[in-house]
Amino acid sequence: MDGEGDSEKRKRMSCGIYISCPPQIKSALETCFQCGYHFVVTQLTHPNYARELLENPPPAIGRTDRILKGSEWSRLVVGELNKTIDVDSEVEHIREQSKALLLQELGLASHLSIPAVLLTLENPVNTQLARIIYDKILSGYDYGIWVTVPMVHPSRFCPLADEKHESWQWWDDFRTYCHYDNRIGVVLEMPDINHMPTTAEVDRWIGEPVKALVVPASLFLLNQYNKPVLPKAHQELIKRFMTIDVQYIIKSDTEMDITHYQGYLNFLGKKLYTNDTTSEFVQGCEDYLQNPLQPLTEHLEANIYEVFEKDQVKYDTYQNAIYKALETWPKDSKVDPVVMVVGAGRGPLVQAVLNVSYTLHRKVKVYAVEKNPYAVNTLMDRNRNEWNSKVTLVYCDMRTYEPPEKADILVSELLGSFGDNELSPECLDGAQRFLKKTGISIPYIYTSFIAPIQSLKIFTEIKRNRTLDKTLQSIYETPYVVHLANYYQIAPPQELFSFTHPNWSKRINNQRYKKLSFSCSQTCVLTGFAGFFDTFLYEDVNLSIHPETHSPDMVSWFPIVFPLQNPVHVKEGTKIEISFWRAESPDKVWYEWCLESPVKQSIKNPHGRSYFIKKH
Amino acid sequence: MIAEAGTQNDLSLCIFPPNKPLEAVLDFSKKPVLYDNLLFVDFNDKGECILGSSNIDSTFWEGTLLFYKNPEKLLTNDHDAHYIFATASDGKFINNTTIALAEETGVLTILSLVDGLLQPIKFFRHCQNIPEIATWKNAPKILTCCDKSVFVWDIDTLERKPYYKFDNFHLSLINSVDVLQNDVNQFLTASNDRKAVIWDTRSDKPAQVLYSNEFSAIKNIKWNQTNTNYIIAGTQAGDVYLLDKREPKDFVAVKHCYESSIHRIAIENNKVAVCGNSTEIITYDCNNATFNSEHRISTHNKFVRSVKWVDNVLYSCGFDKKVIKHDV
Repeated sequence: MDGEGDSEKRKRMSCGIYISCPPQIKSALETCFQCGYHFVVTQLTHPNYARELLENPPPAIGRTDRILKGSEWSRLVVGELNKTIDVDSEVEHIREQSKALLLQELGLASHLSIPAVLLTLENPVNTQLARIIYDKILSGYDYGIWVTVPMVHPSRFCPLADEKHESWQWWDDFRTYCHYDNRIGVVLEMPDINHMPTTAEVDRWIGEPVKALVVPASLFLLNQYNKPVLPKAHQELIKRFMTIDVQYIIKSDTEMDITHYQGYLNFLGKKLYTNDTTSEFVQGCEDYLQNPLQPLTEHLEANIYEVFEKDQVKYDTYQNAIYKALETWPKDSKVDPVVMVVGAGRGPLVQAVLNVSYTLHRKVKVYAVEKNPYAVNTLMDRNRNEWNSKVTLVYCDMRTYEPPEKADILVSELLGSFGDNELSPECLDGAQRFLKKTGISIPYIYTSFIAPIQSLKIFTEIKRNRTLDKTLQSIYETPYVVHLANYYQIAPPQELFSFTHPNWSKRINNQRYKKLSFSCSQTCVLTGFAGFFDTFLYEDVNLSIHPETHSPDMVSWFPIVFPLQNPVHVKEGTKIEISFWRAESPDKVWYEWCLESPVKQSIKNPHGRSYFIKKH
Repeated sequence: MIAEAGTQNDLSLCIFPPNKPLEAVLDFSKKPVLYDNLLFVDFNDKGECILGSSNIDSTFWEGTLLFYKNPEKLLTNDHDAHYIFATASDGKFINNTTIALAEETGVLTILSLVDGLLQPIKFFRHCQNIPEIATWKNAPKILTCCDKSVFVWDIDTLERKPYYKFDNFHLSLINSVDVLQNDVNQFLTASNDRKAVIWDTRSDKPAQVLYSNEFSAIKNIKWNQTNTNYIIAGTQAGDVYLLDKREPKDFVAVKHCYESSIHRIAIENNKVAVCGNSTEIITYDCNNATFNSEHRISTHNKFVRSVKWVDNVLYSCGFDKKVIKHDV
């Protein structure tokens, strides 16, 4: 357990235990809690209590609700549905009896207000089951549905199987019937050591709303102290799932004291915890939807400046780029280089320029251009008290500023998660008026990338967060900045749009169009596209949030997600094609996207009807 | 409902204040209780018998195993020994003095009859409830099933581990097991995956599909120990199939018994008894590789849970708290 004052970094491992037919549920609960477990999974009605429910059903159902307090039922008990239920049977009486039993058990679960019911998919066809469950959760039953499947379906290695099945496909069919409702999650039974899933399969599961992993005690080995431990391969598997918020259900078949299993999982929460700058910074932000900033029209708040300024990697890299740029300045030049920081904010890049000036023993003329009056107030204070009034402060929009002299170096940090999505191109195109023809821009190029993703979490979060003033269409035509955790990247990102600065073209066109094609290596559900960017500040000094080249420990930017209103099933080997536009009008810039394949859809966000970035 | 109140002086009915929350003290019974739900009955070679009753429709899921020295005592519930435990789905004699009990908690308890008392001597743990067990004649081995796995346990070993465990053969819950009485290598399993499987642990391929039903889970399977080529499987759809192990994948004969699931089948000397989620017991003769002489018995008034032939006499028990001897 995470004791108070325990300062060690660890992942909290919420651990439940499966108990079959305990004679006394209250004392069984107490025993489990004494052993460190947080909840139990058990039957709501006795599995041997066969009863006719269509004609003259017996009034007795099972245990009295008074045996536990309401708060105990509602927090501590996950109810397993009767395993004889087969509402998809081709045989009418099985179907009807099963339906009556299912309805009684679901009704009892609702009566007890338990947090979740657990059901197991036993067959590939679960249409009727899904319909009944979906009907109930839409009509007010307020518990989670935990759909259990083996992580690797045994038919893949069972010598008696007639055909091979994919657990993921069963689960996918079920939740698709239920329109990806966020109350429906999947519980995965961990496989034995000889039947581990492939990396790609695990990646895909990570993109699902996995509620729990069932860990059979038979997977454990005994160490030299006769204590249960998991083999490396299972530890690695658990480590993968620690990136999303799963719980663990121990299923014990040994005489071993059950305390040891919980203790061991708790230990894994510490052992496998990745404690780096990034994870510390992003903890709690996982899959949380943020609206992209509109820094041109809305002034950033002090908190946002403060958060961004914490990213040492980013500012070190900027400082390094400025250093390299100023280092090349002729030492015997009698003219001091003019460096203008445009969009200076509270001055971290101004500080970087001054640091480089000091390090290189080179005088530099520094301008700081900022339009946010509250940030200018801070800059004035810094200039007076920290910079010895060496910096020329300009309270003005860079696009309209008329400077007394032109700059040799224009430094800016205007990039968003998608590179150009905070209108860096428009701003720098405006600001280059006061850049010498020989001058340079830091950054001098940035490129956006997109990759198709499966994330039902993001899909349902978007719907869950809808405010009354927004239509369903508009919320799915809006991109969101998200620290992606519960997602599966279907294919590697591909390059989308690039912008270079300065851009001395006669006619600057920042509108773009590109069509991209991705290969789908395994059947999955496309829910949207994740956007990334990389940028080169000076020569080879770069910053990147592209998954393959991500700047280590840099935390300033999370990916941006362009969602689809309806998830699209994509078969293994098929192409995902998307058309993507960057469009503009005199007062706004927006993106449009259109899925072309595997199904052709309409163009999303036409004329920026749901989402746009204001220029003024 | 109308409660049967005690006398006005019956203090045990009083709780003050009247809205006091339940403070249940649910200890296992000190004296054996015969609950309404009778789940299994079994006999040893001496005619001694056991009866399993469980409290499965109420709050405290307790089970009682009762031992009787003869069938007459069984019929009048004049028990000679008892064991109080968790609810159990099945119990079988391993030999005349040893009993295996399949508790729903997943514990297989081995009990010994010593000095007129039933004493637990060993426990073998499973991960969840054990739907059915089977024992070989004159062998210290027990066949059990749990979830998708089938186990063979050796009660003479000090190990708590199964002698055999077969994990990855059935794709769904195993409902039923039975053995070839005189061969500890051979047994049967039946599953929700709709397959009846015949096993021989000496073979490179220990499991072979004996029969696959198109529509329904197989709920019970029994080997005809008189003519061991024949096996009977009962389905959730309410049908019984006569199977011939020499002609796997097909069935020899079929009978529709109920518009509900088959629960248990008993065979002795080619006489078959079937019970299911019904108050009726159905018997057949299957001398000539078919189901003949159908006879329906309606003496129970709730679901029948167990049928057992003993020297051509049929015994049954069910959810009506009755053990009945039938003259068939």
